Amino acid sequence: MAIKVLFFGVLAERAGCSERIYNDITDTNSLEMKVAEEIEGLKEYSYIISVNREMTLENTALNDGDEVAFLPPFAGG
Amino acid sequence: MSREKYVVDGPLIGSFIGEVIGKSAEGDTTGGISVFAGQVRADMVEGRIVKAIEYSTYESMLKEAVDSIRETVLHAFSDVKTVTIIHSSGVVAAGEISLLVVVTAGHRDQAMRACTHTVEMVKERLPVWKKEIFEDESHRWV
Repeated sequence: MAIKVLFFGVLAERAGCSERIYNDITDTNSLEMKVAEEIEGLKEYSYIISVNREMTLENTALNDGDEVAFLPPFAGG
Repeated sequence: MSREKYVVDGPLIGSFIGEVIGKSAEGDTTGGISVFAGQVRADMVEGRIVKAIEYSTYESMLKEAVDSIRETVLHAFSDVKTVTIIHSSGVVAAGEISLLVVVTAGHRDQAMRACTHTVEMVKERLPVWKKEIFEDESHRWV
């Protein structure tokens, strides 16, 4: 099962990339833990997770092919 | 028919802005066109001057956000005809334009009020991130 994970803003800089594929991750809490192992200090940053472009505020089940994004606060305009 | 543009790579230049306004003005039931252009300022931050901003966007989510904002404005302002929102991606230098909002309506009152409302919603809802680049080449995430 493959999940595409996108990083934006400062998190893309900290991750060293804007996109990664993760395998065998079944929910957003597990994904966050996995990403926290790879991005030092992830918990110090403010962000929201979206799944298939829908914001999520609680643990969300993931399916094969889902697109998850780690979104720092927006700063457009 | 041309495809709607949501994001432009680099600054929004004058001729492009003029084209967008001209297209919005088509039709003889429009009486007012209100335009907001957001420009990069050479701010001084902790003794360093901003020379450019680098924008990054979540483009597929941005398109949905623009469509949603448009739908909200058209619903809230009965006299509004069109709502156009275009944002830059990539590097935009101080003095260049990075955001364009054009709202047309039958009359000036709703054109202007809806344009202000649209700009506020853009700032809140568009998935865009910005990195200030200073004259000494250092940077800061906003």
